[in-house]
Amino acid sequence: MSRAAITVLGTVILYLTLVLGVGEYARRRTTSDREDFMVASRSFGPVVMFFALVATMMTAVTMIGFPGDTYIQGVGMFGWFLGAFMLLAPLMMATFGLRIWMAGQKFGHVTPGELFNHRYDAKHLGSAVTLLMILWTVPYMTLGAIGAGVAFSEVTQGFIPYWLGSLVILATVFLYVLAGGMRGTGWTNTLQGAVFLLFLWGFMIFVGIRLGGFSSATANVVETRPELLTRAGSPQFGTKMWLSFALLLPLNILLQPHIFRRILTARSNRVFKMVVVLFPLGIWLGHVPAFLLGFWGAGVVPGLEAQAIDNIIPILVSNFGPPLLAGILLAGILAAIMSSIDGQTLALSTIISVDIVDNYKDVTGREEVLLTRIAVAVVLAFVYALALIRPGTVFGIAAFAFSGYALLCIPLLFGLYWPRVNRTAAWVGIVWGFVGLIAFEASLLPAWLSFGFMPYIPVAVSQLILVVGLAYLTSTTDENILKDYFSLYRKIW
Amino acid sequence: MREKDSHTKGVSRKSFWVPTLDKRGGLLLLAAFLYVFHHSELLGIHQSDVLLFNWLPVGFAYHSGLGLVYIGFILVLYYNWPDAAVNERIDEIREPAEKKQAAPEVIEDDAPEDSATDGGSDTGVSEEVTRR
Repeated sequence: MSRAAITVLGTVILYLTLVLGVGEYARRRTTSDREDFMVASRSFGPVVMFFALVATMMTAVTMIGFPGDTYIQGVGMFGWFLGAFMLLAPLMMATFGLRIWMAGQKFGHVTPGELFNHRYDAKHLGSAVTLLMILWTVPYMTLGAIGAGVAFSEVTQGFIPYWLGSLVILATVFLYVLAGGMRGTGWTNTLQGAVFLLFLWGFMIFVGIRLGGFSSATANVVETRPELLTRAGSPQFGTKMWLSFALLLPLNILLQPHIFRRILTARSNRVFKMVVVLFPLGIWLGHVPAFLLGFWGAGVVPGLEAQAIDNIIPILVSNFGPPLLAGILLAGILAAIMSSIDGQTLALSTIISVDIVDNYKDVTGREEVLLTRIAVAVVLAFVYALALIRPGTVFGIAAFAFSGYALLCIPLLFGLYWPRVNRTAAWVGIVWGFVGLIAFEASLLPAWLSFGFMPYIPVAVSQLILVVGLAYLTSTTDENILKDYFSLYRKIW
Repeated sequence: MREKDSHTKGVSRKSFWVPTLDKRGGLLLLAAFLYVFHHSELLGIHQSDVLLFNWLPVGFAYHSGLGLVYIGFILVLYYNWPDAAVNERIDEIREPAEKKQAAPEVIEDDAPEDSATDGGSDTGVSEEVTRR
């Protein structure tokens, strides 16, 4: 092993040990009580909740997929991916998210399935929602495992192969999620969120300087790939696709189980509203340097295509960083990846044990925590197997998962505002959303039926018509349940 | 009775998403207005390859700057957050009714729907916490 490889690995091992140490400290503060393990007794203050949300939101998509697509698509990527998100996602959190948080506080929900079973007076709806969330989240988690494998193999120049890199990161996440539950993920996310934001900004400035200054870095792109300076002419950035993606992320954010569950952890409403303001700032801080790295990378690393575009930041790290710095930079990339996989793993394992096992079999709180821990192992093993197959580019996989989440929005979240939405409307809306999206993906529905939008748009419009129609045609939910919810909400917006 | 019906059947007029002529309606209108700027093709910026300060592509500068404006709007939301929701943790604010009457934070403009005859209190969050 070369001296450089030892330095890189030593730095990364040190970092992973630090993360495990935080996880172990959280474990000592965590009991086997259901609410303590699953939602940290709803005790997160603004700093931990901010990093828990931001770090969980910024997955391998931010560190790997987004710069990779910027490398190919250029300037349009920033507005396309983030433009409307900065406005609409906090709005969704301030309105729908606030109602989710209040219901969690009042009724003790720890999962989306519990909330929707309760709100719609249903027995199996929550389980169906859970199955769909698993279906969309597993490929989304796989992005992290892919990103970790890519980062390790690129930065160590093949010394740590792809399969081993993925395995090391999933094993680390397994250990600290198993130990510390929600508190462990929240505290490690605070460390990891700070690390990767510092990494991104530091590395962006470092690369800019190494390329001869920001002007010189951009001049390389102007010279070699001038088409990347505008978004005109790209079909991906036409008005209909632009609108489709503008709505896609905000519609799905609250239906990502790890985000939903993070919302439940806010200690108070004051904490919640502070985080709603800080959240878009964190997203902005994470994506500005990621964009510039992908953009400048296009000028100095020619010829990447297909899945190789995901390698752009690791390649920059490998090309420009001395061994010690490369080790720190790799730790930064891994921080972003782990801080998402952990939240997703805990969310999935919790919803499996609560909404599927516990919903059909009486178990004690301790047994529920044990089941959650077993589910953590099963979920991570499945994700690892999928990562070894590597089914597509990071961004391509993410866009598919986002559409699936978005089609849960209308049947589920509308019920938090409109009392008429009932169990039947929710069921039919959910089933049609799933069937419609798969029908487009499998080409069972012709592409022209999407009218130039992303396929989820026509499915969502037809879903809206179905949900509204059925809400009027079928009987409403039990009056007492509606009173429970809408008296709770009558003072807010 | 009409208020009770609207309470459990229709969308409340106090919902953020219902257009009204009051301050909340103004916030919704402002959000819609700001969203339009996301479509930079309306301003022709999508075709521009100008570099600001000789290194910053104008398309990126526009959208990252607009993102900061959006954060400013969310800050406006923060300062207009509904008073009833500012209280500390819900299950910690179940106070005796007489104490609540003296509390100054109960907002006046909520009065009509607050009086809904649903058995709830005037804060809307004073019922016993119902654990499932």
